[in-house]
Amino acid sequence: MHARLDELLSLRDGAPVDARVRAHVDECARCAAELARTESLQLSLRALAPAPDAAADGWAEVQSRLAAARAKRPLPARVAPYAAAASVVALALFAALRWTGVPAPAEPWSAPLIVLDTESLDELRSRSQELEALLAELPERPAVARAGTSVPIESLEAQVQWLDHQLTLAGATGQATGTEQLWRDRVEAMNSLVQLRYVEAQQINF
Amino acid sequence: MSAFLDSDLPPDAVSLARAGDLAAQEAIYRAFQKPVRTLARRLVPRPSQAEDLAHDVFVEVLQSLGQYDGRGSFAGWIRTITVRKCLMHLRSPWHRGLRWVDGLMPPDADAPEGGRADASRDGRSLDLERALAQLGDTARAVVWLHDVEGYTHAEIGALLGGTASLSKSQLVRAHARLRELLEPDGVKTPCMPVSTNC
Repeated sequence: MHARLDELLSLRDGAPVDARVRAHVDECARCAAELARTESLQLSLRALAPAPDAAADGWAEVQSRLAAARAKRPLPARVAPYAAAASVVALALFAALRWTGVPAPAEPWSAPLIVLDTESLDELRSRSQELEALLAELPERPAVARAGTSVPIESLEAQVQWLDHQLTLAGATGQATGTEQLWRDRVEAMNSLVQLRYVEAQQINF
Repeated sequence: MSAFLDSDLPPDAVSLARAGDLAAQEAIYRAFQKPVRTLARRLVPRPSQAEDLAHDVFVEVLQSLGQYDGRGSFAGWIRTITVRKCLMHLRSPWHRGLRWVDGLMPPDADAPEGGRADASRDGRSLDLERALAQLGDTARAVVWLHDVEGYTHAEIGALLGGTASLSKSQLVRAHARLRELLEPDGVKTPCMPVSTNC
């Protein structure tokens, strides 16, 4: 009885094999040749050439994948609370610095609301100056603002500029007609502008 | 023997790389890119997939440096990551589907290893590479891991999610098939078919 392939492979690897099989292979030329073939095949496999050089530099690709993996990786659970706390402190500090020297409005929605119908031209001018002063006290606008407040603010600012231009023209030509309405429109626009700027400032200051 | 044993890495490269030293990380890549790519190409028949997996191996190695405790050889640790990643790929349904499609399509530029002529390899090596590429995924992995990389049957069985017996039977199957492919007109010894006594 000749040796089976699994027995020959075990013999080749020095694994335990039945003594009768070992004795047979020692005496049988055919089985000895088969054992030599298994050894030869193993040597041929080990002698195969390594992979050819890569066409492109793989290190750049690995770095790119590492960067992508870092970007996607969530913060470890033990770090997340500290990171959140640090973010809160940083935002609070940022807001506090932005408000330095500027008294925070106790009641933002208590910004002056006026009943325009009852005011004269002088009262409208006075009211407009008060609103200008309030606006000047507010902090600078943030570099990044919400579109919901930013767009109307910019629209109102453009409206005030246009009204100022109209008032200047009216003053230069001595026209009294319509001046009161222009001032009334200006006070109304300034009133809306101040309130929106308060809202925007509140968003910065939580 | 395994090309991983020949890798030349500066002794302090691992600790430096773990601390974030980019030059040390690159040194690890340069030292092991050849054996990792070679092993991936032997286990995964499509060269483009093997190269892709090799990149993934280094991403995992560099991300997991903190988990290497230094008890075993660093080369062996990288080799284990490479083997696990390649075997995981071979088990994926996507790869299995592609193997089925390979059988229907003519050889292309990304044909399995050994499927194209290469002037740098002699005829015997080319035949052997072609024969290897024709083995089943498990048989090819087992014969390479056992006969070249030096894994034991118990280790291979564990990697495959089975036992040492699984590895042994696959090794026999691989050798029998390689003989058929390499010596189609060779003398057929009556007792050579697996598990057949004369």
